[in-house]
Amino acid sequence: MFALRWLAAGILVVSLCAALWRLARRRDSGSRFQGALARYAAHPSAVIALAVLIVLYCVAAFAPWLASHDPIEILAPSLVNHAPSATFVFGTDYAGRDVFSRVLYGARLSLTVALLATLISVLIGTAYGVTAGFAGGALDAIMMRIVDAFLAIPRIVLLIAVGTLWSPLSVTSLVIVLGLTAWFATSRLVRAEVLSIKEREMVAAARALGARDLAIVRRHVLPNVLTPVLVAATLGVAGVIINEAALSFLGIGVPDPTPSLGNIIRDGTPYLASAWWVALFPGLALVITALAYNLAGDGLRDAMDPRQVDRS
Amino acid sequence: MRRLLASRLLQGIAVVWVVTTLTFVLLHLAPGDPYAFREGVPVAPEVLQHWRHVYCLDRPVSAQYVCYLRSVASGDLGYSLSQHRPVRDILIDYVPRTLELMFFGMLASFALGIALGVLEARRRGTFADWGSRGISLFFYSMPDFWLALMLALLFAYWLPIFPISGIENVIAAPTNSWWQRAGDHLRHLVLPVTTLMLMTCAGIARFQRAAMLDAMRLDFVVTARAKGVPEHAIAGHHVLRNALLPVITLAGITLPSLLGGAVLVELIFSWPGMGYITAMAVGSRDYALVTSSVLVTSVLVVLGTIAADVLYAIADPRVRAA
Repeated sequence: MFALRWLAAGILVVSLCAALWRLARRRDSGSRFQGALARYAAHPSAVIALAVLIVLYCVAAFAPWLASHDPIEILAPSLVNHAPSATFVFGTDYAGRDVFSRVLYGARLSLTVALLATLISVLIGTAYGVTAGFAGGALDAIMMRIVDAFLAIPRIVLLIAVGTLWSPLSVTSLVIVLGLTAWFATSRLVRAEVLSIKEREMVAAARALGARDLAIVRRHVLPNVLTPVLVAATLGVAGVIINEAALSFLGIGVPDPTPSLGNIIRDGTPYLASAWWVALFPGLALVITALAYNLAGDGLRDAMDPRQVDRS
Repeated sequence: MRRLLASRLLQGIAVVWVVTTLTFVLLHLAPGDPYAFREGVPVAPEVLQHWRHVYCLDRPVSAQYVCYLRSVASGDLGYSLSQHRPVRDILIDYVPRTLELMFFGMLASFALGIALGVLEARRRGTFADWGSRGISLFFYSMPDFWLALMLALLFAYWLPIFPISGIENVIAAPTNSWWQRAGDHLRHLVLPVTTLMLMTCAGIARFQRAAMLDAMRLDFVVTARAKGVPEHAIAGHHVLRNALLPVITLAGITLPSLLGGAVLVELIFSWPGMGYITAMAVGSRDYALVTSSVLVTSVLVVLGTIAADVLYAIADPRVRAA
């Protein structure tokens, strides 16, 4: 029964990937999107990364259905730190909970938190960068010095400070805190783009025709900064996932019985020598996720910006 | 040169001032009183009143801000409630250990990163290039604390080659000669430094590879090749010497990620540095210690960036003139 569910999920994922692959290989229409898609498909590593991400999100979405046990149920006193076996694929932890099911649910939480936090950071970073770049002058200078100051603090140190001061963080506030500490680099990138777009003829023409600032931002600036922002966001998700794991590992992220990839590793740390499986598997899930996002981001950068392709 | 240094210093001071303001705002917005002792610890109200008075918490917000800036500027970073001594004294004990780790971590990651970058650029498009980039991206994608745990599992538990924690073997130290103690200390450095190295070398290698490829396209390289200079001599004398310069600027950018990585790496290997006490302060909710470590890391980053800029100007006359 259990194997059948995984088989069904596997078929679903493979057909999804195949459909996407056919879409990428279709070269009939010469639209910009099709061109970018074809360039992305030319990178085998980026294609594999995308497939891995699809698999990860499908597994996360169907976690309750694919898990072999309840992630927070303590199974039996005799099942403490039980080594991996056929029933407990990744073993059990110090409390006798199934690590495999915890990793599935943990990935579900970590992936969702990272995606939402990145969304927040992209919105703030874009708004901030557009404001600074478009306003120019003293306001721009002040806004950028503030970003410089934030960039001088290692992000994990800032997160630890906020996490300690507001100690038990709910998952919602964790998303907000992660989002609020991830937008600095994006805003700098957006500002640089805006500065170059501002000098183009189309903006001068729009101004001559009487367009107001807000209209120029919406019609000319935003569509043009979308590409670099999308690349930065894809690479940014990898960073946010790792930072969320670090916070949960320190005990100031996702609170205890709820599994997240970081706090499963935390549970395994005191028993590392005797029950290595508890810390190993959630970490592998983290590495695979972050690697897939990094490779997909690299592929996306090449696909969106054809001028850069021959540099690598 | 002097103008460059002056402008960088002014910018740095501005950055530190903004960070100080930020820590003040954080302390102010946080629920509870930074000098309220934790529940379960009986404290006389006079003691509480004393600390509130010393750090101006009994005055209006504007006066508190001025007071905070003044005490930070004079080096007074508050009183640690978990260690029962001034934060400044704690930092004097622990920061040098972190700097030591930073020094060796930086050295190792730049050595490996530059070597990999040169290798990848020379073997561009081959399996070696592809594999080296893949492996370094793999390590780059790892959470630092998990990498540290796995190294501890491999090289301290399964193959007991390196010590798992601390800075020296406390039992053997009193009877050891100084060189035995130095060797022991180096053995304790291996795992934390390796973690930091693997974590950051991917970025350096990528940068070095791009710089090499850019330098290979320059006219004098083409000329040298046309004159029949051997390929390894071109790579060493013409390309590498030009491609090494931009890497200096990377030192300033790598520092924040190294310092951030050091927090959890120090915690896992019980390396008694600033990151270790910061992570420890989380559990005891030591407000003064946590915000001070934000301040001190940002000061270290600012100083590192200025040092990198100045070094770059010394190394490259074109920058100095501009």
